[in-house]
Amino acid sequence: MSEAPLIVADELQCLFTVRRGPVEFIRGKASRIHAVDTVSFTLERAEILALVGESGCGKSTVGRMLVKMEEPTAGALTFAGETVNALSGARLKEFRRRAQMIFQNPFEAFDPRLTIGTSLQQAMQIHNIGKDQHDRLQRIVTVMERSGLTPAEDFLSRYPHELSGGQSQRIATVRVMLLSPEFVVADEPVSMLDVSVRADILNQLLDLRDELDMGIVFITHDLAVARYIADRIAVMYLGMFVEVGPAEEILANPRHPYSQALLSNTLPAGDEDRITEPMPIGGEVPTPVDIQPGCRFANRCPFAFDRCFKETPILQAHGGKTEVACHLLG
Amino acid sequence: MSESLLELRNVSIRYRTGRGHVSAVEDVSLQVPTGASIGLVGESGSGKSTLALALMRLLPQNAEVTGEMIFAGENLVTKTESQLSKGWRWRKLAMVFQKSLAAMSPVHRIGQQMEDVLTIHEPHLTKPEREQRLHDVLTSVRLPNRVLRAYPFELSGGMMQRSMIALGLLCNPPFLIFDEATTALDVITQTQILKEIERLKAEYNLTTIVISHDVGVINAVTDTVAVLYAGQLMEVAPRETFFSNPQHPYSQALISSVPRLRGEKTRLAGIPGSLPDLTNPPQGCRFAPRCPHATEGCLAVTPPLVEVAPGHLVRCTDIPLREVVA
Repeated sequence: MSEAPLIVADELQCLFTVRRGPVEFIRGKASRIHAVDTVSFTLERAEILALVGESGCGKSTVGRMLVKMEEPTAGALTFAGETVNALSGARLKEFRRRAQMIFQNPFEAFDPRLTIGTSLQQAMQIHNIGKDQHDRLQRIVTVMERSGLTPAEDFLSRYPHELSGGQSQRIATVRVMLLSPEFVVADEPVSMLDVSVRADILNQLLDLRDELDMGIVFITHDLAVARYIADRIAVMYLGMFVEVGPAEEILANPRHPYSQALLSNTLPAGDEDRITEPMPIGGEVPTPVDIQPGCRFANRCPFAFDRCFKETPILQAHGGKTEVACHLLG
Repeated sequence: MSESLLELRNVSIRYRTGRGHVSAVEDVSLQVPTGASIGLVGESGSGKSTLALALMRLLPQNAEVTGEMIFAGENLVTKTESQLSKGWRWRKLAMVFQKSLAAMSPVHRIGQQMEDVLTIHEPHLTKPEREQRLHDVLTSVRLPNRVLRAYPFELSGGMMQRSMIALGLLCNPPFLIFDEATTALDVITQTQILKEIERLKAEYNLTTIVISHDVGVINAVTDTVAVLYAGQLMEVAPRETFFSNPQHPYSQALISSVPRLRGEKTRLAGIPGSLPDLTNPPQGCRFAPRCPHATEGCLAVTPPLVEVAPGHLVRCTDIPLREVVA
C-alpha cells in the first residue's frame, strides 16, 4: 500500500456557479467561474510540491480539494491508493486525520473562546489519540517544547488573541503534528509573518517532512519561499498548471512566459539575485468566467500568436523533467 | 550633499496605556536630504508606522512625542492642529497607507473623495481647476478617468493602490510617506507600482520615506536604509552598503532570514526570540536579548549610534570603531 503515490490528482476541476442579476436569475442562466480546470499531478511521500501563482489563480482551491474541504466538480482524487471522492463514515474520519491543512491567517485558525490547551486537546480527542486527558496534555507539552514553544504550560492557558502571529502559526503546526498526518496542505502559512519567524516555520515543515515522511503541498505566491521549501514547483495561472517541474530547474530556466514574468518580477533581496529585467506584463489577472478555448495567458502574453487564442495548450515535457503548457515550445 | 528637507532630532514616542508607558520609538535622529528616498525597515511592532504617523501628526491622543521634527525649517512637533490642517498635511507631507481599501470611504465615489481633499486643502481652486487637477494626477499614475466614478470596492488591489498614490500626490507635496504601500499586492502588480513610484519621484521631485518589512521592496526603491528595532534605530546605511556589508547583527539577521532566488540553498537561520515588551524595555541595547554576539556590556548600556563610514551609522558595541568620523 505504501507503494501507491500519496496523492494522485486526475483532471481535478472545480467550477463555481454565479448568478448575475435578476434577468439571469429568472431565466436560470448561470455563469461559471473556472476556479480550477483540469489539474493533474502526483505527490510522493516525503515530497514537497509548491503551488505558485497570483491571487485568484486557484491555488487555494486546489489545496482545499486535496483535503476534501471542497468537492471537485469533475475528476478523481486518490489518497494512498484510496479514492477520496467516495470516502464516508469511519474511513472519511480517518482521512480527516491523515490529511491536514495549515491556514494563512493563524489568528482565525483557533476558536477565540477556547484556550490553546483546550483547542489542541479537542483535536486529539476527536481522533481518539491518547489514553486520557493527562496523557494528551503530556504529548502536547512534549511536541510544543520540541517546536520551541517553551515553557509550554505558559501557552496552554492562553487564548488565541494573547499570542503573536508567529506563536499562533507555530501552535497551528503543533496541532497538525499531534495528529501525525501523512499529508499536509499549507496555504500561505508564512505570508503574514515577519521574516525572522518565517524561517522557523519553514524549517519546522522541512523537519516534519524528514521525520514523518510527510507529503506537503505548499501554497505560496513567493518563488523564493517555494524554492527554499519545495522539491517541485507548479506554476498556476487562472486555474491551470502552466509549468510543473523540479524547483531548481524552474528557477534557473523558466520556460512558460508567465513563469518568466513571475520570476523576473520577484523583488530580489540582494543585488546578486537579480539576473533579468522585470518582464513587463500588462493588465491584471482576470476572473475566469465562462472560459473560451485558447491559452488563458494569451491576452497578457507578449509572445502570443494566432494559435494561442484558438487552442488550449496542454502540459508536456520538452526535454528535461519540466512540463510546460505553451505553444511557443511547439 | 543637499540640505535636509526633514530632520529628526532625538524623537521619542510613548503611548500611555493602562499597563504603563509603551516606549514605541526611542531617541531617533535621522536626516532626510531633499530628493532622498529613505527606507525604514523592521519587523512588525518596531515602530515604523508610529514614526510615520508622528510625522503626519496623526497619532492617537494617548501618544506623547518628544524631540524635534524639523521639516523645511519648522518644527512639526509644536504645530497646532489648525496650522497642520491649513497648508501642512497633504500640501507639504502626504502619506500612502497600506490598506488602501480601508483608507477610503466605501460609500463615496473615489472622485468625490479626492475632490473633498482639494476643496479643504486648496479652497482657492475653482471647480474646473479641481477637475483638471484630478485628471492630471490620475494620468500620472496611469489610471483611466472612469475611476473617479467608481466606488473603492469596484477596483482591483493594484488600481486602489494607484488611486491612493494619486491621492497622496493631489496637492503636489514635496514629501511623501509610503507605509507598506505594496505589501498586499501580487508580485507583478507590486513591481509595476514600485516602478511608478520611481518614475513619480523623478517627475514630482519627491523626497520619500518608504516603510516596509520586505527587504526586497527596500532594495528596489530606496537609496538609504534605516533599520528600526523595538523603536531604536540600529543602522543607517546607503542601500548598496546595507545589502553588501550590513554591520549590525540585526540587519545581518534580517537579510539572511530571507530565502534567495539564486545561489546555494542553505538552511535559513531566522531570529530566535521575539520583540521585547516595550512597556518595560530592556536596559542597554534592545536587540541584546536576541543577539548572537551579545555580551554583558550590551545588556547594561545602550550603545551610541556611531558613524563607521561616511553616511553609515551603526548602534552596536561589537563594531570595531573604524574611521570614526567626529
